[in-house]
Amino acid sequence: MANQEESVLKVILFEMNTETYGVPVEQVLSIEKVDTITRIPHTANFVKGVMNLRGLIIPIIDVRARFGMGNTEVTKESRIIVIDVDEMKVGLLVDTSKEVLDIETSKLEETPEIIGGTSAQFINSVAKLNDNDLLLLLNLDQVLNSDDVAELQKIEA
Amino acid sequence: MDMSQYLGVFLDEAREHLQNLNDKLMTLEQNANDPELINSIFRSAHTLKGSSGQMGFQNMMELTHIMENVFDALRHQSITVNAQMIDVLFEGLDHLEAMADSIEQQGTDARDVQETVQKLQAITSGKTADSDTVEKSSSSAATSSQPQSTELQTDAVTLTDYEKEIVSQALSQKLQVFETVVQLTKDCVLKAARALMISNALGELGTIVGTRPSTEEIEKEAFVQRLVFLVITEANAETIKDKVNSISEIEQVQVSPITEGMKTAASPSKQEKALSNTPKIQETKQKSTTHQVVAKTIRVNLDRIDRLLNLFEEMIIDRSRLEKIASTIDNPELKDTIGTINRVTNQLQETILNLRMEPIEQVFNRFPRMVRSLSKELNKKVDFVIRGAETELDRTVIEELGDPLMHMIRNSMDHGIETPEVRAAHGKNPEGKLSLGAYYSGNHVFVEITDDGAGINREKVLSKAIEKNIVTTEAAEKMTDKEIYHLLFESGFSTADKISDISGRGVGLDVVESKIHSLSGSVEVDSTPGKGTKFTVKLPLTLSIINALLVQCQKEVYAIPITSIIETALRRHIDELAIHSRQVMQFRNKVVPLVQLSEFLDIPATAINDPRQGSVVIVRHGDKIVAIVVDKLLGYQDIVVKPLGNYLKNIDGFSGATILGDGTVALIIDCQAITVSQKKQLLKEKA
Repeated sequence: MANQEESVLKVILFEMNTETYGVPVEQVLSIEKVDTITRIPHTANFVKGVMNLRGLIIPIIDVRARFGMGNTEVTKESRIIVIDVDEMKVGLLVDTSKEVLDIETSKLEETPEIIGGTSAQFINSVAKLNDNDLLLLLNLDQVLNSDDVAELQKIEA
Repeated sequence: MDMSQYLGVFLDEAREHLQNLNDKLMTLEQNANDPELINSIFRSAHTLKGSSGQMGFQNMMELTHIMENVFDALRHQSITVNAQMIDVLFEGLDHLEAMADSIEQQGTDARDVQETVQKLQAITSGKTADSDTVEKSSSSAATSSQPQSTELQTDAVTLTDYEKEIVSQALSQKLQVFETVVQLTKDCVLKAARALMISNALGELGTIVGTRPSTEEIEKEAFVQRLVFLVITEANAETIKDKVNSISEIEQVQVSPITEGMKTAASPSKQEKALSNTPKIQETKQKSTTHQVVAKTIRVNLDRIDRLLNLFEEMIIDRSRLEKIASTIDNPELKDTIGTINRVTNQLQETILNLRMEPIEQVFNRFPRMVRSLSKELNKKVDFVIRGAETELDRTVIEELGDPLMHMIRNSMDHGIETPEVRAAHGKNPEGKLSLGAYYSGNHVFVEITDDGAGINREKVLSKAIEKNIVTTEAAEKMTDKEIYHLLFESGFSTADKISDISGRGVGLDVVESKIHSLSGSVEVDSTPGKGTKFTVKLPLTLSIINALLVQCQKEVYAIPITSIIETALRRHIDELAIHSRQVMQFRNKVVPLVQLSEFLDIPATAINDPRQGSVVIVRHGDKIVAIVVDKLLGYQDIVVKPLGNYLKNIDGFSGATILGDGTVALIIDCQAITVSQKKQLLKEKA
């Protein structure tokens, strides 16, 4: 039993631009509906702002903007996947979140150079799903790399 | 047995002992012949050795053991204190501190201490002929060749019927039953924890049938120092005794067998081996007569206090929500109740915040050693005085304060205080004076670092600042002394002629200032040439709940800490001028730049506002004043400061965020960012 568990990865799926993405379930704290998001001035365009999550202030990242594919429009279906990576709690704004899926780790493959326009740096590995769709597993360390969060100081005046 | 549950307690204790060793060693250097002092050092080292061994930290135990040898030799006066020896001992303490840190972080005490060990051994081996005997007695400090001077009185424990039955059953099965009498040391802090460790140790050897006092009383620490355990075991009395003796802070152990229906006293031969030695006992006796009444304290995990604070913060948010609702409903009873809630929560707030307060001593403590080693390195004589170490500050502030203070002290040692020769030539006492003090004033704590050194060379600072393009020549002419001294805190500024290891590494005082700003504090410097320099750091008592003014710009709400605000005004009441196409206003005979918040923060315009309807908030940061133009003032409110978190750590301009009554988040404006960007713009325009 233990062996079987080791070889299966539970991922939470979400869709974006017809691609299916996955986040390992153990890095996910919760999935939330979108509440009021407060904009933070002087930040990169993918930093949507901060949101009050039961007394905790968490930054919200627009995943689509993070991948350089335009901005996400908030709809009724929009969800925030709250993840916890290296002591950082961050919310990922996605169009909609789907089910949780078990993937056998043996099915995971290394990322090809270019997949559907998403730059490969944000993808850890890919897996073929039953219907021949590709599942792209996010490289959360890279998505949450905070080096380029602060907008470069504009030459003002 | 699983020790992880004691790890926190062990580390706390270890650090206390290390701090004690640190302090006492400093004193020892000046006061080499105080037997009480050496004994206290020896006891701390001994306890540390015992507890680290018990926890399985072999390296820590071995190093402590070797240091203990030195203390023991000192105690027996086979060697005498000298400065070099103290240096080596401090080196050892540094290693022990590093080990404690690494145990906390990595769970291991692995560390290369070979060099220090050799130095320590050199000290002890350089002793006189009787070194062998000393060595022996110190390496087995738990035993004593002296006959027992105190004796645990044999206990006439009356067995309960239940215990009697078990005992007789055990005896019939040829098992042994022992009555184990344990005496804890008088200064044992966590008696219940020790008792638990003893009972766990005994539990490994056999079964504990009963205790005196009862388990419940032990858990409540309702006993003095004496514990009795009834143990059924296959092991012999010696094994039990050794096992219990391996736990620290135990004064004495006595194990006596119980036979059917009777009890015998422990044989005299065994008493000889009991843990204790003569000086130690005298010690404890002295202590007990001068025993002070200390306020009862408990150790609480910081997480719990933080949790309490978090819950309370949520309550504050709901309180303001409630106030908002009540203002729309005209109900005197509701308003009364909210008034009461307000009063109670205010008191609650004070109490909770007090829980987080700790004496600043914790930071100050590390400086005497630093000053000592620096003065050697720099060949300067320094008399270092600490005042007000009991002043209490929020824990988070204390944790962050160490580095900036260290930097300023290094700075004073390096640039402030002159060498003895120079001092003598100027008719000053060759020994320089450096003092570090803390005191309360209003809602703030002030920390001052004063030296009686050469003072700041005004001209040198100015020419350097002009050379580095920090100020223009024209601007420099108008600057006050204080403003000029403050240039020291500009980034990239260092007046040291040559870069020394101690200060002037480029990462100078600007880091100090930004750190102190991040704690919502400020730093000022004052100096008299030839007489000395004084750094004054002003810090808020607490960081987590502050009073702030909420302002609105278009649809966005921001909070400005009240500590930064000088005044607010309606825009139609102020005199606006334009100088070089820049908006400014007159304020108390000063020309103050106007900053449009909506421009500064790129706030998206949703409506065009009549400029004459707005307000200005005049804020000060250091000696810079700026007027911030906003659409609307929403009023003052107690807000809970929440961090923006690691992900947004590189964001400038905000000192945190807060949750408003309606559950949305408002950012807290850091006025430093606005004044700094204002200054940068001015410089750019002048250039």
